[in-house]
Amino acid sequence: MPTLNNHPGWAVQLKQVFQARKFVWIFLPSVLMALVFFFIPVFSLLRISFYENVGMGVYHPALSLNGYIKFLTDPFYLRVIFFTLKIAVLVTSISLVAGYPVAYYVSRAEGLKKIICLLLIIVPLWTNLIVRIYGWFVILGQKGLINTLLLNIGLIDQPLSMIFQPLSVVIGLLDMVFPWVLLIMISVMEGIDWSLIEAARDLGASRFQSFYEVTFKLSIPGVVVGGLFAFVWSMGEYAVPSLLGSSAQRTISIEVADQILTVLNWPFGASIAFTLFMISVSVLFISNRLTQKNADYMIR
Amino acid sequence: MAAMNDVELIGLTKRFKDTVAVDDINLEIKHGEFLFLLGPSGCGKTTTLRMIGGLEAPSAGTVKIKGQTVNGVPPEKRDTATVFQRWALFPHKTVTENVGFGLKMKKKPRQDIVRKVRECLEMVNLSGLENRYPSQLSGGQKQRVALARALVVEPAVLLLDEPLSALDLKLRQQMRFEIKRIQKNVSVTTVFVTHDQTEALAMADRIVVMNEGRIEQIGSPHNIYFNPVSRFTSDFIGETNFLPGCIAAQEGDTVVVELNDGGRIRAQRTGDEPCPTDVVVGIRPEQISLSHQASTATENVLRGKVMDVTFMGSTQRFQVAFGDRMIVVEDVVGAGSESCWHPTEDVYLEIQPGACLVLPA
Amino acid sequence: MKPYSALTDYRIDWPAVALTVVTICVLTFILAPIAITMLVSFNKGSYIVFPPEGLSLRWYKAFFEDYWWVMVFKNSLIIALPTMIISTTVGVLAALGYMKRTFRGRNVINLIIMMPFLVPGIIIGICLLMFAHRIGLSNTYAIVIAGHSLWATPTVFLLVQAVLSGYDFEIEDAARDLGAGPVKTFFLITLPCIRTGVLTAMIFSFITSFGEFSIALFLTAPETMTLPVQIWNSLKYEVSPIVAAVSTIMIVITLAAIAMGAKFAGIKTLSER
Repeated sequence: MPTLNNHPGWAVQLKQVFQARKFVWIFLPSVLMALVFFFIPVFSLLRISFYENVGMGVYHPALSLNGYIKFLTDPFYLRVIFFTLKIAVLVTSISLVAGYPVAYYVSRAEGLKKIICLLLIIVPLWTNLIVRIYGWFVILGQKGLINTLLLNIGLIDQPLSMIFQPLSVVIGLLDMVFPWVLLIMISVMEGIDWSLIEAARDLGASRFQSFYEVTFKLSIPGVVVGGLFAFVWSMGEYAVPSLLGSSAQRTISIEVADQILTVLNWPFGASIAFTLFMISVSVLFISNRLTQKNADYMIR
Repeated sequence: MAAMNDVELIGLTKRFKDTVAVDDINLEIKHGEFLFLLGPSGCGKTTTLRMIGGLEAPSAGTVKIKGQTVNGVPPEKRDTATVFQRWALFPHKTVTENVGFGLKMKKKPRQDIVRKVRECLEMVNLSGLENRYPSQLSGGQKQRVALARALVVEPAVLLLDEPLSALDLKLRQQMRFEIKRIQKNVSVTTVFVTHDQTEALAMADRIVVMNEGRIEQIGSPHNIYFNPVSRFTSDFIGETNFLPGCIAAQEGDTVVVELNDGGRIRAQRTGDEPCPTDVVVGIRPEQISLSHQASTATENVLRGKVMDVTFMGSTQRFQVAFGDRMIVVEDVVGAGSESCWHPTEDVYLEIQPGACLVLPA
Repeated sequence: MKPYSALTDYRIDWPAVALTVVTICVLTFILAPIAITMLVSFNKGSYIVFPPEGLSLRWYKAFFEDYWWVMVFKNSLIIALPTMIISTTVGVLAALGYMKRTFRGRNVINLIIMMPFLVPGIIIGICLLMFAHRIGLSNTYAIVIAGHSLWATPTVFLLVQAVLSGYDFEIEDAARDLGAGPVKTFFLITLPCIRTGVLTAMIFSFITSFGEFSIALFLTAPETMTLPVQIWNSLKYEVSPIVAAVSTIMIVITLAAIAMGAKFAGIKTLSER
């Protein structure tokens, strides 16, 4: 499986590309930027993760895997990993299941309806996350929207505790992930040629059969890609769990931030961060392979 | 009982927002017939086809298949199968799965499906490609898979929506022959939509010429070509020179028309128009021959000037100035010598008697 | 062509009703926090309560008068503007190259450029934090601008690709054929044609940077703190409806950006990917 260890392979390919034609120089700024501000720092991260921590922000160059071992074996951290995975899987499944019908609806909508729907998806997409989290504070809080409403109607006697719970974390992550998942799935579904469905109906398939045989089967790659992205982002998100969760809800990202900003144990923090990075990158590669395969067979 | 009509269209109309795509079409299609819907883009032929197949619901009128009214019956329950313009092959299914799809939907047993698919693929000359995916096939092969897919379900009516328009010329000509052969073998009632008149003339049993949602003319290819009843049909099919004039006399079964640009034409009488009536005389380029000598005849000979000669291989095309207009003439090239016509030369156009059509102005 | 218009005329469309309901629910879900925040910002009282106790602009006033909030706002601008310029330039060039023709290694380039965006933001924040430490750029505006540019360029890359799908690259060949050199071609032909795309890219790279949190959290010092980070602090430690006012201001900026973007490039191109 291609990992960062493939670096030499890429570098060789890059060199080939640059030597091939002058035109390719147009990529110099972007590749340079990615190299200097991303790949090299990531490599730096990797190196630091091998260092020995001495305490209070001091560490020695070394080549130890202690950080990784600690993170992957210590029961406390295992619980954190497990919790993060649990939340990520939950958020991913809900977003895919609830998002699929919406994506189908929007991809088949026309004219004004479609534009409005797309707008309603784009607005949260570009609105920054912190602001949306604040909105959830107001909705889920003790004196917030839902509680006030339910109290007034008389459905409950005491305010429900909905914030600083796993529930609020899941809700916050869903809010973050939905627009992206929706757009990914919508774009895949729009690529499905509707005459295929007509053909299926013409040949004897009922509405449901034609949906299943054509639309559903052809939309699976989009669903998978969307799911993978939802998973990676839910796992790596920091603001949502730190604000909408209590101290009992610790995710990998919270651990990392803690180690790096508070405890100042950079090597250990780096190990965790790098592990997270590797998971994200692997997922990225899987989804890239899938979109390639999909592109191959959508060419008519 | 007379030969059964497999398809009947009665007063079929389709309106989209503020346009009428199909306007009161009445048509009967006999069993086993190869019928063509021919017309320019936007004339409503595809919409009509789709209404037969159930992919569009009529705004008014009735569609009957094998005597049963099928209005309101969804496409999967109709006994029709369509070959789409872009073939609409399922990209994620193999050729076998594509062709067998209709049978799978009918819940036929597996062995039957396998057998029938194999037979059908043989019939369209595609044996050996069972496990390929559409993206691995050439245009002609995709075409045949689409055809096999429609034929294997043994529909009462086979519908083809310009299936050859995406192929290049040589392939198109080849496929025309194949489709005609298969249709004859299977003897399925077929409706073929096209804007290409060569296709229609070559393959059809009967042609329905459509324009702006209405039927212009129905007839055999021969009939349509040589006896168009309207200016549109005669213009759309083949090529026609239109010369305006006025009916001067009617004698028996012929009329004499005085052309506005000079000369007289005697032609078959087609109607009962009193004289004088403004008419247009239609003459096909290949029905005119050129002569250097003046003729003694007072009718059906016109005088003009050759303006341009184009060598077309088996024929020559002449642009002849006649009054204010240009007449196009197509004459066979004599063996051996080069063209003996030069621009600005005076020439006499001899028109075959009986070759002119008198059409309303 | 309209998908089988007839096929849904045949019976009462209960699946479509269910679809509509689910869609409305989900869309409401993602819009709710935004709408609520805007409402609450006009609250006269000082708690996060709903419904608001009365309407007033007092929190907006408080925001503009608070030295700290204003400074933070300025910081966000100081960072977002250079980011906008850098990421737009880099991204537009990359997109032009990418869309012009296919070449070996095209997929690799795509991956390299897109990767920073597809990886969780905190990773970039952490990596750059350590990197900055090594090269002595900690706690500067520069490193934050670098981080944000890295984060925003992929967005520009995708956006401009969408705009370029309607652009005929052959006109550049025509220009070259008529005697214009590569640089002249770029400024006289390419740039004017993709003008709207570039503007849209600028707008969206700006709001991406303006609202970015994860990277800023790690890279900013108190002096360089940005608006999202300050909001986060507020929410963590003391919550006041000033946050609502600030949030609403940010929402309005975003809406304005989207409106401008929609006018320039159309809704379709904004739904990237």
